[in-house]
Amino acid sequence: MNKIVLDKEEVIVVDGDLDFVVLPHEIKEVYLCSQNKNASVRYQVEEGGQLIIHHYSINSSFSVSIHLSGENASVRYFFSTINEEDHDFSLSIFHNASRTKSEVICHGVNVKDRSLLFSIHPHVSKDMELCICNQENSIMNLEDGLSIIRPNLLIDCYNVCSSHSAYIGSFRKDSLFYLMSRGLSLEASYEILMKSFLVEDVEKLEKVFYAFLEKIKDL
Amino acid sequence: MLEIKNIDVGIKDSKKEILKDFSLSIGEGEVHAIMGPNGTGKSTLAKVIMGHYKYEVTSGSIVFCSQDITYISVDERARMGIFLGMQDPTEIEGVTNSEFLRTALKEVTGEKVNLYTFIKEVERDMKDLKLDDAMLHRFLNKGFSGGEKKKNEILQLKVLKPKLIILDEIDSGLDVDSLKIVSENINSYLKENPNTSLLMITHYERLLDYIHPDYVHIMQNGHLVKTGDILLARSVEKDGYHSINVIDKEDIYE
Repeated sequence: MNKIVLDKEEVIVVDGDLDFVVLPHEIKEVYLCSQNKNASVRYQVEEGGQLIIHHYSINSSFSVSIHLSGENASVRYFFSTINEEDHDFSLSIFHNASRTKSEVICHGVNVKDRSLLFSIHPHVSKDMELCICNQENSIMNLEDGLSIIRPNLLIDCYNVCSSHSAYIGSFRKDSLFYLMSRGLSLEASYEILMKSFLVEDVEKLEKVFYAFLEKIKDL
Repeated sequence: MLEIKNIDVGIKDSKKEILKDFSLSIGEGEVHAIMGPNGTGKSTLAKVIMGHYKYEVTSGSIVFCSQDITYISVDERARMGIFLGMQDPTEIEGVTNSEFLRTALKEVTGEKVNLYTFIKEVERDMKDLKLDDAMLHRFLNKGFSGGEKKKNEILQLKVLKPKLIILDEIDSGLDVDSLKIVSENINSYLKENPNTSLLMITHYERLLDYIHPDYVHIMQNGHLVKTGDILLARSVEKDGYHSINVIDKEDIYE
């Protein structure tokens, strides 16, 4: 993969529905930031194209579809959300060609007594051989919110490599004890755990979506 | 420095009692070792002093530096100067060692940490412990070997500079060379900070050959049954715990 220069990464602040195309053999790295917005996004990745999405969301619902339309097209989707209302994130990935690859990581913190739903559906139709589709989903409940994860693998082809995982729970008490036993307050311990859970690259996020880091502090 | 007075300790939301009428007094600069068979409550004691969430002190008190800490939070105890070096340090993915240490130092001292000074000091401490510099940028205890985890506990101790150190089986998982390095670092810390007290929990006398205790206690069924010096540890090493006869009450140090 070519080195991606920070300035050339695209930052999209969502203010409505989006349509996004990655041309053949193109590499696109996208930061998608949304706060109090509901939207639909459609991506199309052509042959040999690579799409890397860092999606940070606060109190937003999203419906995303990704079409991997040519051989060796790939997508890596990191979704991170802070939820204080009732929201859902729905992601469908269509492996429309052989040797396509999808990797999805969805992390959410459900702050209050509200609902958060992740529905992740990769579709691999018949004859689309040697595809890879992996997904890992976790939601941490801070209170008694209703959190649901639907990690569905809709695969109609034998020669596919895939995995899925889903975890709903709270931050481990042992982790909190360890951090607090070194002098970190409960608040500082939660902040450090939430940051590590929700943020891939703090320095980068500071530049593109500072409000997200501020929101973690506020919690 | 530490006065544990007649505490009864059980597991929260359970009737199981682990420590019964347990008392121990540790003075400034003293080094104590507790030995005992498996499941006798040694690790529980270490965790109770630190304020672990699983345990409940149902009677008695724990006083540290003249302040009753029986019911105060874990982080307050740590900021007062208690440090627990854990038997199996928790792995936390996503939090780097460096970020964690700087945050902890800031919380303990209440001051902003100068990055340059911090890095210089930590690099020196890591060199003393023969730890690779890259470990500072790895996730906290994630993928560390048993020896690296234990050395990392000692690194934290050296950075945070506590008044009371509790080491829960710090020798387990350490090879002979690593045990020597860890012991040398603890000894040099105690030499530089002569008022610091140390409570070691161990199964083996070999640790006590490196770090010389002022008192050795034998713990059985949730309380201390005998107190002596290094000779007591050697006798246990040679003949086992069954050879220890609980004699008179005055043999128990409180």
